[in-house]
Amino acid sequence: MMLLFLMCIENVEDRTKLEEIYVKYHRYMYFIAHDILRDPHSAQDAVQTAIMKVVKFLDRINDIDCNKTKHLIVTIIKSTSIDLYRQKKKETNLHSDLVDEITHFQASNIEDLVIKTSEVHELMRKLIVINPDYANILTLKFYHDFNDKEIAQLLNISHENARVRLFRAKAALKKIIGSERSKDLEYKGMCENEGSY
Amino acid sequence: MKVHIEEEDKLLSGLYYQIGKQYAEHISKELEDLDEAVNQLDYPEGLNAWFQEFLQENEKKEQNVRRRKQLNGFSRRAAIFLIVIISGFALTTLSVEAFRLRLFNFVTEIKDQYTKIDIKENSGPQEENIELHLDNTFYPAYMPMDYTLTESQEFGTMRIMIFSNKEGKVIEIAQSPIGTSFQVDTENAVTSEVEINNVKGILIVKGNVRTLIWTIDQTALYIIGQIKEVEIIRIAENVTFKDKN
Repeated sequence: MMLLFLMCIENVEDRTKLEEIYVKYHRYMYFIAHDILRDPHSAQDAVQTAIMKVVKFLDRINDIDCNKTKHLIVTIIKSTSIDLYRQKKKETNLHSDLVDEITHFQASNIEDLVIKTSEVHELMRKLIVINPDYANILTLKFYHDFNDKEIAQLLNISHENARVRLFRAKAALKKIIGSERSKDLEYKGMCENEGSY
Repeated sequence: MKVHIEEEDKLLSGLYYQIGKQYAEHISKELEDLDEAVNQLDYPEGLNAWFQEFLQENEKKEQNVRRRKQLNGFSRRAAIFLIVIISGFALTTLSVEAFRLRLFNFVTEIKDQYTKIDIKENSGPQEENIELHLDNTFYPAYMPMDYTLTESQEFGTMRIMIFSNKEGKVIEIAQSPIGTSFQVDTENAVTSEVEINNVKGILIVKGNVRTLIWTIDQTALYIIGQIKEVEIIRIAENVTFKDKN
């Protein structure tokens, strides 16, 4: 951990920004870490490590109080705590989604993937049910615009693992859209049949 | 197949963005819902102390990095010349050449890029192993606003004091017995003579960095920093002996 101290916050503005982030989120960070690790000392370690990780991404934070920043902070503290938990449990660096049953992706028809904005929220909820990590990685990639390397750093996973998770997240989302479309077509077919009577 | 996936990704990038936006909102709401529980959990105060220390460590590192950059800039293309100070020299209206030969005995060994400044006493037998008595420290009674002493280092007989301001700018003051070498960047620099409390000194200006070298009794001093000429001279004029006690 001390090696991370070698990082230098480059200017006064960044230090002020970090201080503001700390003041606003440190209690939440501690709570989340404590919730995962169930130990005050480990939770404290997790917050310290997470703060030092935040330093690396300071330039990506513009508004301290926006949803984007909240999501980033939560992602960092969660991944740090989980990583610490794994270390403490002396688990190997196997990530759950790599040993999960592989989601086979069948290329969908593009027309089937066109959806309405109003459906987005429902899709997001369904994706969370399948695996919240999938929603999270899509958020990091497409909402925050992080590259795969940065995502790997943020989530404490390998570059390859980040790519695989992202691929699966997209596949899972397309599968959800596909099944929604099937239901629609089924329903439409039923209506047409009813009409013919 | 690959092309198909890429096309699909492009088409769906808007959807992915919207999913991300919704998820961030969802996390934000979850965080707000934690408010009560967060306040109920005992928070270790040690974490606040750690954070303050972490910030201070970073601040120091930042200052060190800046100072190193500044000093590296100086030594990169430095020239070396030898100055021999004749004790009790009376410098008045002498030419640069005379100043070199008669007063400082500037034996200029200007090499390609380096010049070394050796400040030596020229009269009488010289003592070997001259020691800097740290209780005989010279200290500036005047410093520009906001500058405070942040670091003090000793290298052999040389003592260096570093003063910093909130913007991270530094002024470095070094002192050592006559006989110590200084390395000064003189390439493309403008060198002139100045008078510090009736003693001649050398002012070297390179860009916005100024270096002033002069002596007080048996001690050679230099000041270096991004400061105006009037300020550097004022600091030098107000350097006084400071008793350890």
